[in-house]
Amino acid sequence: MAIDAAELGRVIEIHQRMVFSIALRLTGDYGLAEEVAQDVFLDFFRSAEKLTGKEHARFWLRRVAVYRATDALRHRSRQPEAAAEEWVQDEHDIALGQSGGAQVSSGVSAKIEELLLAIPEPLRVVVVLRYQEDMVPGEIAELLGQPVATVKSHLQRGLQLLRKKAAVTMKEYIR
Amino acid sequence: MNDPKSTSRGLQADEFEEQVMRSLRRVEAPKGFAARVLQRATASEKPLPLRPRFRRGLRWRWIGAVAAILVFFALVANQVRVWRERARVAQIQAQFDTAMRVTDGALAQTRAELERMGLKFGE
Repeated sequence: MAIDAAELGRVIEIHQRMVFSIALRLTGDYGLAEEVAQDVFLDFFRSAEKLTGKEHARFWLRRVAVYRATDALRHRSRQPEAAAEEWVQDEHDIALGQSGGAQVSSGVSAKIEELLLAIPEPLRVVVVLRYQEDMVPGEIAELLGQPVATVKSHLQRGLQLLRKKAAVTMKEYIR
Repeated sequence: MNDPKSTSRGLQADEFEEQVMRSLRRVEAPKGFAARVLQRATASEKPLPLRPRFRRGLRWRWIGAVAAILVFFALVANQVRVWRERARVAQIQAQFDTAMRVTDGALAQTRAELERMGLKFGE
């Protein structure tokens, strides 16, 4: 499946939201997420001949996006929590601009995104793949090369942490 | 807010999970993202014409290096074989010399015994 620039353009059009969103939710930094997403597509361009079809390409893009984003997180000097404030605010503004009035809803979403960045990275990866990418634990396990039991445990712990943090910090939204 | 309300791909999701799902909807990539990636991709393609020539030269260097290593090992193996052969010959020679010395000693002893008994040889 060797590809040219035009084909790469089509792949980017199809998958850019997926790759960018994974990178953004894992790094919590808009600029870093773009850098990661660009690197993922460049890796794809160089490695496309090894991929056997569209599903394989999607699987590969997700996996490399996760690995590159977690790698970028480990190499980043500043704290993710600091970056989270910036992009959550950006996203919050964008959401408000797009939807007009739904302030409470976007406020809850921004808060949950912020809380997501406060949970440990392995749990965050699984939560993002489950709730953003709508993947079941078996698929996540295959993507990450981990046992299904580990994925389920991470998912349960991640969700539990989110619930606890939400219960403390989002009383005004949760009824 | 933990009552199961709906299912997502066969898994039950309560109200909080639904909220998490809504919060984690995919976002749009930044404007001009695709163009920037394509620009980087085409820029990384430009040095490609140089690569085949480089690779061809590199391939011959590798072949030469492997051939030189093979010749070196063949020479070393031959030299080791010669050394071993020489050592074996030297060992056989030493064993032969020892055997001859033992035999000479035995003969001299026998001759002395016979002379003591009155027999004379070589007269």
